[in-house]
Amino acid sequence: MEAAIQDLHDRTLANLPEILTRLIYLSSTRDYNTGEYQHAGLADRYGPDTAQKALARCHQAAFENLLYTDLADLVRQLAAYIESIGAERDQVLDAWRGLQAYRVLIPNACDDLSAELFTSNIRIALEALRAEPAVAPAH
Amino acid sequence: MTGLMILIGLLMALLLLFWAAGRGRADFGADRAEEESPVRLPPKALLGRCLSIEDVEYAAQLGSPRILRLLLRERRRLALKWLRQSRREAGRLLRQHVRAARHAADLRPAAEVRLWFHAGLFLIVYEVLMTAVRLYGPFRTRAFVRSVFAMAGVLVNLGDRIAGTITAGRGRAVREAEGT
Repeated sequence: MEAAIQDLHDRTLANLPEILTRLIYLSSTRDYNTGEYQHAGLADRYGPDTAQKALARCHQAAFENLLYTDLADLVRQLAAYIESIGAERDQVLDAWRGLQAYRVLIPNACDDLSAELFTSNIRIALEALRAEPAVAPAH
Repeated sequence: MTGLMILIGLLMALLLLFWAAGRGRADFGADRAEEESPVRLPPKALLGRCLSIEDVEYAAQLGSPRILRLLLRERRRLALKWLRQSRREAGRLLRQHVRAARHAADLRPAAEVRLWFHAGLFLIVYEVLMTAVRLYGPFRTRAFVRSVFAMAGVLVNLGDRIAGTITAGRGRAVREAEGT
């Protein structure tokens, strides 16, 4: 599995500089109905079972990494992400707040307390972004 | 000095009684499967994240009292949840031990006394921490947070000791049952 994780990192995750974007990417590979990860290339090279485990492990690692990120850095990463998708900032903030789509970023194996701290951090970061429109998305 | 020791002993006995009373209520509706599932004390780093001074300083410099209030309220709520979860898990560990001890032929009194002493200390530290965390917000200086975090370290340590004593007892029982 280590080889699959390294492969995933080298080919894909290394191109995503921020932890938040990695987390968004990794959770997007998960089927919301079954909770299973889908990655054709990785499954072809290492088999579906190994690919599944590698994606789950990377997802969990990215989640924990972001969970322990300072609020200021989380706000910066969120601003950078919104900037990168090219949508209207206020519209994205409203959608994130209203739909709470960030809940899909939580991995399956996450405990309740970590999940709650994560969603709480995102909610506060969204409020901070709204209050501080000048937060620089750059590093 | 002796008076102080007696006072601490009484306090611990009182706390254990309260805990036992709570245990009875918890047992009444407790899901057996959940009760038997592996005990997992929450990591101390999670509490550190809840009480992060850097986050409070960042929120304060945004100049929005609403966001600062939101952050402090949320973090206090989550820190209290961390504490309650630690207590619940430690309690579950002790209940599992009590159930196992009912059928144990080789209970070691010294180890049992040490275990319940640690459990008593755990409860005292827990109650002190609950009070301290409830004050978090108005009191949020670095020194205050450091003290709370240091006490949380003591709590985690005691939890580990309780788990260690129980695990060692189980290991000994298994070895003796296998005749090695």
